[in-house]
Amino acid sequence: MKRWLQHFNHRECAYNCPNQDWVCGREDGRPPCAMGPDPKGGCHAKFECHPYRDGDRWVCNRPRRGSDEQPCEKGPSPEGICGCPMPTCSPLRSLRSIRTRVVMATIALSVGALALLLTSERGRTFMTPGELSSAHAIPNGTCADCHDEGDDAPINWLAKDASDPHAASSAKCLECHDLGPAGANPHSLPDNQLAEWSAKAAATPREGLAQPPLRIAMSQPIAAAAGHASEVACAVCHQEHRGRNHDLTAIANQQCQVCHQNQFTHFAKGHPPFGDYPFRERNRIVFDHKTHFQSHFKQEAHQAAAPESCLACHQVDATGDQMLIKPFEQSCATCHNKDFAGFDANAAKIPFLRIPLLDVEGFEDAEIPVGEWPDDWDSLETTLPPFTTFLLGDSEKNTKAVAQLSGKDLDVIDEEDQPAAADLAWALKEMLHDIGAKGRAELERRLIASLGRDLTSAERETLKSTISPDMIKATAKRWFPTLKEEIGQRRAGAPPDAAFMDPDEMEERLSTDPAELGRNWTRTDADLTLAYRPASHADPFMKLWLSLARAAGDGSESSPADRLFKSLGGASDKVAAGRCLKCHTRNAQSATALHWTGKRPDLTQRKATRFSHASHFHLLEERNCVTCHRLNFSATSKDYLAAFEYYNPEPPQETTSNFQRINKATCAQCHTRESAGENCLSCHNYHVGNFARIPPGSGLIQALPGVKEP
Amino acid sequence: MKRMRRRRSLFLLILAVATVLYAWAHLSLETRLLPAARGSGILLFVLTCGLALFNARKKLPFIPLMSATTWMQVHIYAGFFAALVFLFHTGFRAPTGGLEIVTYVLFAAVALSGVFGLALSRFLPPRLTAHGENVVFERIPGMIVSLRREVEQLIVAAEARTHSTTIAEFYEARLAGFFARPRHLWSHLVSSPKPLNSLLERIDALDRYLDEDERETSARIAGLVRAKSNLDHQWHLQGLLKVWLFAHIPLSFALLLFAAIHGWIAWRFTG
Repeated sequence: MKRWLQHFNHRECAYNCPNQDWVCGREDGRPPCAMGPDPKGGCHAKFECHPYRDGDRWVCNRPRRGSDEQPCEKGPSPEGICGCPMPTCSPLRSLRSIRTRVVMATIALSVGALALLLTSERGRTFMTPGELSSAHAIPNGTCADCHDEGDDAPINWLAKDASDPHAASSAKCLECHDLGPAGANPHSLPDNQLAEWSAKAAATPREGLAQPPLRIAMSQPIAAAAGHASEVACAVCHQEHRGRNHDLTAIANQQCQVCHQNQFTHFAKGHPPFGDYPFRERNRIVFDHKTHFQSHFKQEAHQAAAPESCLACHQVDATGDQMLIKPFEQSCATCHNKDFAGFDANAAKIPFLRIPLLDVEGFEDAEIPVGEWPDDWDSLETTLPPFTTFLLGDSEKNTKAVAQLSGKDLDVIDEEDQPAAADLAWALKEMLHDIGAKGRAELERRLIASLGRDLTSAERETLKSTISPDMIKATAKRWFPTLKEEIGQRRAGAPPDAAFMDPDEMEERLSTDPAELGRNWTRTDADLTLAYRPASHADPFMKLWLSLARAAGDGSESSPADRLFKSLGGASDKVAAGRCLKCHTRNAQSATALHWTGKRPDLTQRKATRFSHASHFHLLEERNCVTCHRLNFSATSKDYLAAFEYYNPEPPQETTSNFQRINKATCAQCHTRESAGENCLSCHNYHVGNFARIPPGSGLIQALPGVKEP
Repeated sequence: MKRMRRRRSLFLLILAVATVLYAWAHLSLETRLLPAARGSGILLFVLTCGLALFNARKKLPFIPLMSATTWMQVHIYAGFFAALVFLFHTGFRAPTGGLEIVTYVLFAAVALSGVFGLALSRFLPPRLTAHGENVVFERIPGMIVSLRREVEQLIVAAEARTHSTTIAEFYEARLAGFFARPRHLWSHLVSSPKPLNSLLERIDALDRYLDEDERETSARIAGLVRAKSNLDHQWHLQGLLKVWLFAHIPLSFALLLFAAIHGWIAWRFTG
């Protein structure tokens, strides 16, 4: 039997008010009373109706509902009170009201929680927008390391100056990551260099698409609206607080390309050819691969020493990027050690100090006092060695005298040159005396004066370990027994007259045989010369003086420093003294230094392109080094060596390599999206310039052998 | 029905166009290394505020600003669009910061409760209509009391006539709890007739111990049991239609607060 419980007409159906805060709480099953609860949830039902007065009678106005009759049987009392009292109820909150209260409670809870978190110390951790990447998750690091307001309670973050937050945060980044003065520029490049690169790119023939890739083309309207920023905030690319494993440097190829003129979708199709990469610069150590491979290693005498593979002479550096030249002892010594061990010792001597033969008779005639001077008792030279003239460069007077007498025979002096020759004679005596009297300090003073700069601690140490002032003092006393008295008289204003030393006494005092003084020094009384003889590869004396002379030279070839450099580097390519510069080149970037080693990974240098050799070693089983490095048969050895002319003041910065250029197609065989990937950052650095990849002093660099400390 | 279908098609079209436009704008901003997250964040906050206005609109029915049905449709489709913007805003990643996690969870809870409510509003009304008499939710407790009284009056009257307590004892043992309050929540949610059939079978089984007069009473009680079962069905399903809002609305306000703080801090630090 169908049972209908609800009737819809105005007499039988009570009106429920679910939108009110309170609803009737009657539990007797009857419909809610017509009175309803008051706004505060009180029941004000007392009677079923409020009778109204009609003349002198009270009339029932009970609403008819269901089975209730109207008027009721009892009717109103004479006083007008309803005869049907009604039990009160406990009104109930409506569902809507309960929901509103839940909403209010939730809001209150949220506001309270946020207030607590915003004002408390612990709240800072909660408000931090996520874990830092592992690169920045420094133990004991605080928010203030990267944000000015980091140590404040989070409530202060809300009032932070937001005028240029990117610039503020980038400045903090650059405190640790020194990207140079143009750190915030695109690619960290100065404006002029950026413009230069842009112009170069514009002039390069494009292999890319005629139209930009779809994603870039589609974003064109946005770019047109947004324009280009002259500076790029660090956070544009490096988005932090995205978890420990977030890759801070991840960027899509299209994002790289939006600024670039040559746009393409695949490395194989569209990427510009490599040009002369990586052979833009000449080698630091001259090595003619072609001659060695095609001539030397084929000779019967050298076949046993010929390398079996590239790795006989090359090894990968600690970063895995660069192939280094192994030390001389491992790579070259087998054939070239005799260059140092088997030479003629006498021929290889480098005169350091020499007493020349002077025209003493001329001084006597002109009554120019120069004190005692050796007679030509055996075979004195009539010129000064470059070392000696370099050391005499401590004063303007000496420099002038040396310059005036340069190239002249000191044994036959014209009248006009006599004062300069006398100055030179006293300069030599004073140098010998002062070095003997003051020791290494005087030697260093003279060097500093000649160089025009202070010596580095390394230079001082090498000087100390290679030259003994006592040796010079003893030599001076042997050659000039009355030197101390003569210098004393000269400095007192009464220099002794010029006179030859007694030949017999000299012959008795001096020896015609060279004397070995230790540390590769030789004293030869026969020509009054103190000489140095390099005995092995990487001789510290040679390295020091070549570097000093190179640094002090002005390229004029007439200055004492340039003459010294030339004498050390190229006196003869048959002797060790002249062979350093056969392999060691001048620094193409700097006129003041020489390359004593092959190229080393330089953590202060970030170039636009990088290549990790180590990542490709697993391919060597099937493809050896020659896959990429193919000999350049079209270039002769002469072409290659042209870049290494020793004394060309402006050596060519580019060279004709022994090897062919790297072919992009070789890389493109594997570097596809499906295979080895073709991400721009696999081979390119965004930040380019001279700055430390690892902060100096962090201790990380020392852990990488073969890596140059910035 | 045709009008409703046309309206739905229109909203779906608008949603699709908005999605495509937004995806284009977001990807374009990302490609150009412009602050896509800032754009999506602002849009998301505006959308969330707009969605919350639907609740305010319900409290102000006198404002002649489109019909409630239109508001509801806009609320639903804008909600789906906001969920999409949310996914782009988060980069399809789970957050790791405290504030971000809470905001993320709140948004997810609001969105999921909204979808749940939408599903309820689509599936439950047909079931309510098909099941039996539809009654006003607020009247159901009173009706249950009324039914209980009616049953008890029947039993008292039958006992007075027959001097038998069989039905009374049966009521006390098996039916008193059933008539005391709404029962069998899960059975009604899954539309299972098992509890009702069980009670009716027991009443049928009782008949062999009853005389003619009592059987008539028993039959009337069975009818009241069916009516009560329908009331339970209405109560539970209508209740479900109202209860999900206890999660959706409060969490929406919490979300707005947390999102505002998140947005403010993000703006201060990233501009």
